[in-house]
Amino acid sequence: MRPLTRALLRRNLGVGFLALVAFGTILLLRESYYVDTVATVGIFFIILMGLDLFIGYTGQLSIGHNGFFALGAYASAILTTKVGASPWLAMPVGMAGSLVVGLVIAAPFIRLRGFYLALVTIAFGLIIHGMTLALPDVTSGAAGIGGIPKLSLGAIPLNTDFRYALFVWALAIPIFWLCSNIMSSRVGRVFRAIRDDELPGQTLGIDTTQYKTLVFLLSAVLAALSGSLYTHFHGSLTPDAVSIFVMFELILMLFIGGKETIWGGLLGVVLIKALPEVFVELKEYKTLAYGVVFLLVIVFMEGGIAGFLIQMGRKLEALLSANSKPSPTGTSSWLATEGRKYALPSKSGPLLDVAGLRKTFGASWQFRT
Amino acid sequence: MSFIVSVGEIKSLVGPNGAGKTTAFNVINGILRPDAGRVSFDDHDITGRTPRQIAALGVGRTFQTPRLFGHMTALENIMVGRHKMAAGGILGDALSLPGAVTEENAMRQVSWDLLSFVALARKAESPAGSLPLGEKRLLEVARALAGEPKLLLLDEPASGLNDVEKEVFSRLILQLKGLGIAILLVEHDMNFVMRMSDSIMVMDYGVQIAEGTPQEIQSNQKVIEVYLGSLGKRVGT
Repeated sequence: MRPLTRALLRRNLGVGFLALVAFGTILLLRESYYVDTVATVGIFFIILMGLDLFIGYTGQLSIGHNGFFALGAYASAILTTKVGASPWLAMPVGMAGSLVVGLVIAAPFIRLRGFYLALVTIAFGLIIHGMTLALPDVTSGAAGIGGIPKLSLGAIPLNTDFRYALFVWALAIPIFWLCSNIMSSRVGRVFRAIRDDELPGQTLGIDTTQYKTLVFLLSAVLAALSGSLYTHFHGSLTPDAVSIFVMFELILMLFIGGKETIWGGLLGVVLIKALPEVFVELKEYKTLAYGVVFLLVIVFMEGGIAGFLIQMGRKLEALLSANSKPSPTGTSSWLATEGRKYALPSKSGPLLDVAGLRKTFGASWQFRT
Repeated sequence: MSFIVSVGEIKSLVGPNGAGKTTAFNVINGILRPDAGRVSFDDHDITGRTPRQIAALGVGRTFQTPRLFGHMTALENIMVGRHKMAAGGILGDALSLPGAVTEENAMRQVSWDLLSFVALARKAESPAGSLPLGEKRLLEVARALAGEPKLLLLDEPASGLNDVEKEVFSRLILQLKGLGIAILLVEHDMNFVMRMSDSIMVMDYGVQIAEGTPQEIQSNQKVIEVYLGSLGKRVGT
């Protein structure tokens, strides 16, 4: 079997496995109080997949995606309660709004690196959060918006936690499939190349800025979708739900769960959202527990829980196949295939012509004709 | 500075540290903008264009210190080099459309072939960052070749290599020349330069002091005085 076909099969099996676990859990908990946690986990998993693409794989630091989450959440809340629009209209409006705002931010700022990009995104998140407080006529300010309608699929209202959990995961699983496909193909490879070193990517003819913008917009739209789903699930929305602390929590989830896996974020959400629900008595110590867990993971598991699991899996695999290590398949030489396309040049004479080039750095250096 | 690299020619820029060789590279492939002068490639004026545009026209390069995608495998590094040769977008990738899968298979095949061309097939799955220097340099050339360049800029390809690795590298360069790829070489190793080059340009602190065939350069009095001085004995074979 060709390696690519095998990789594709493996990927689809992984998606199938996740679907099985998710829907199995929902069915198992259908009568239980905890099914609402499964829905919440799915909602945050969606924004985390986008963050993994942008922060994990592409290596760009955003601390402001709560702003995009807010755009989706408030678009849903405001359009349904104040304008009377259908939630099915409000949701895509929020995502489209995020796309446009994302473009406006990306155009001047996506070239910034490291801390500078992080600072710009923090500012963006703060501005959006600030607007939810500062425009009470539109957002109802700190009091928040209530009475937000639940979603319904045709005649079926998604008015129980069980139904909503099914709906959320019916979105999350295909998104997981799409993200996995992207990351294991041509475009995803460029995202990872940008994380490792951007300049050589450019010298290989790749418009890295365009790809960074692309992945930024993708993560922005997923954040908005996540925000809309959150709003319609809870039926109410306050500025607290979109503050920078939500973003910190998301980053915590991503790093604890394991970045650069897409599914790692899911482990992070489960750990941080679900466990406190199960161990209710822990609630007062939540922040302390976060801090301690974060520290332990950073120190002992660089790749998060997912990275740790993958490492264990590799070791197991190596153990099982120790005696049957496949040797690389011999392939035809490039010289005989692609190399032959280099027809000897039809013309001779100058290819590169450098004339009177001069470049000076300060006073210390120059070359002259 | 002014010079010409002709089709299928190996041209070398030599000179002491600080002579401006790497800067010349960075200006030619668009990383730096020149203060004055003009660079044209394959009848296009490329002065002030971006590295991406210049690469698209068919200029490939390597770096003095290899700049590979360290966490990605050797094979993936070459596949990134191949990226610009394919046309598919994110939608085809996301949906695993047949077209995207076919394209990916083709990219993988060419990249494998290139990897075996530089004798690195057994390192296909190794992270590029973990390879020894000699293999890194070979991989960087293979990655550049994946974009099918007409001109290859090699920034000190022999530095840090042992004699065997240098020999491998010089054969590789000659093979590429045989394909009609023009090569602009920056190199300190004078033996390497004399052996490889069709034509050599000598620079000293930004000034172009001589240009000619290896024989002409070896007997050029100015070169021997200004630059080769101490190296003259080693070069004179």
